Amino acid sequence: MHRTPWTDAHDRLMVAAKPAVPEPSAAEIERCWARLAPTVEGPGRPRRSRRARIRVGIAAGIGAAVLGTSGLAAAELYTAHTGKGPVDAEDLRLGGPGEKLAVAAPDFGRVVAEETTDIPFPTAESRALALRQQVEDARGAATDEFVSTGALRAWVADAALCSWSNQWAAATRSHHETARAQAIRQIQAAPTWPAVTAIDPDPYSRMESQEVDDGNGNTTTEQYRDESQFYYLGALGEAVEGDTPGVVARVLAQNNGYCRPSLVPDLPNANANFLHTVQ
Amino acid sequence: MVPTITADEFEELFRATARDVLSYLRRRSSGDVDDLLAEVYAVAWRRRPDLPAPPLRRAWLFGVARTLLLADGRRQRRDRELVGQLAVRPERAVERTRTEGTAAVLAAALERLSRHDREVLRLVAWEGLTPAELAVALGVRPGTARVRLHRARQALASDPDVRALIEEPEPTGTVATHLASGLGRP
Repeated sequence: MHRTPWTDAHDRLMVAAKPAVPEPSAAEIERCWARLAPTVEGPGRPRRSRRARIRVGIAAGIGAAVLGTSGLAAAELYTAHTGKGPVDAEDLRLGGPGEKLAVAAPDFGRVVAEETTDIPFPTAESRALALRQQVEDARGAATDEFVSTGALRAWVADAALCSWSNQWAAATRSHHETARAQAIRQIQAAPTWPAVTAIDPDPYSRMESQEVDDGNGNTTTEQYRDESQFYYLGALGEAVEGDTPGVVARVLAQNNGYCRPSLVPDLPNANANFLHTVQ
Repeated sequence: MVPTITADEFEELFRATARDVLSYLRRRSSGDVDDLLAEVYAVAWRRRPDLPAPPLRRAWLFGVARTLLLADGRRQRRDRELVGQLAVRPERAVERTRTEGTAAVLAAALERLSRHDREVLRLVAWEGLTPAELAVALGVRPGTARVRLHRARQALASDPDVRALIEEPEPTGTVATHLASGLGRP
């Protein structure tokens, strides 16, 4: 057989024949790591507290525990999907609607991504950041920890609003009217997002009163502010009509309170309350 | 067994290489490779005492991925009882590149090679492995890897259709353009 030497031209032919495949996205890589992390990290790795973020059900004036336990055995944990929903009205009110997802399951990150695809984000990068936060929070979770899809979607919607607010701030400063108008539209439409209406169809913030027994037979009436999960949306929608980033940041910091710094680089004060609460 | 890499170091390795490994899998499989990607690193974590020196770990991961692709191909072939399917299912990857002219000729020539020769050429040309890295990916000695690369190259270069491409380049827009411009050269 005739032998032909290998030349640079052959190298170029081979390279030209390299199939074009989709560039792996950050979300794909995070989903994969979320599946691996329980194996690699084991149960001992420190896990960031979700305490400050658990707000579903706060309308009842109770610090609702979205994460709960059930009788599912660890051996059954192959996927985050459990097919189980709230067991009663109390469970629904405190834990949120939807399927209970197993937080420690290896595909938790993928499931979160799938469950939240309809929530709009300004960019793929900001979506990936928000999803990564959910995955990071899930690290080291026990096998009997569950979270409802309703609560997860609410948290991701919060993160989306942080991202849109950040776009609004950057666009307002740079006088980029198109980007600013887009951010305003999204923020003001947020009360209609399915992820929002499922948890909080009619956001409110109002003063309520309750009878308090001091233990000595004396009963007094106390006033307290009752706020629904997305009670800050009205104030946020009004704030973005203006052109003062500080006002928007204050609404987020005081009301939402947990915009992660990576989501609001152009609105750093928006996460002040989160940092104060967690650290 | 003493682990040679910590969890944090392993996460660094994952983040530094996962995109390349995922692209590698996609270039060679027509199906959903997310499970395979996770499996590559799960195997790597289990076999962490076997990890080579850091500069060679990416290539080592390609070797793990290749083994899993072969196993996956065999499994699918059994499951579907598809006679004649190649274990690494390279057909789809070839199909993606099969366009008129140069790519079609080269794709056909690659298909005529043995599976091992084809993979050796792809690892070097598509994944950018050096001969030393190729040895790690194939699990052979560096000298053996060089010999295999040499043989694979000779086999492809000797293919009559490839010889024709090299010796009688087509006019503008096909071979001549590729060879003259060096497009895609890493």
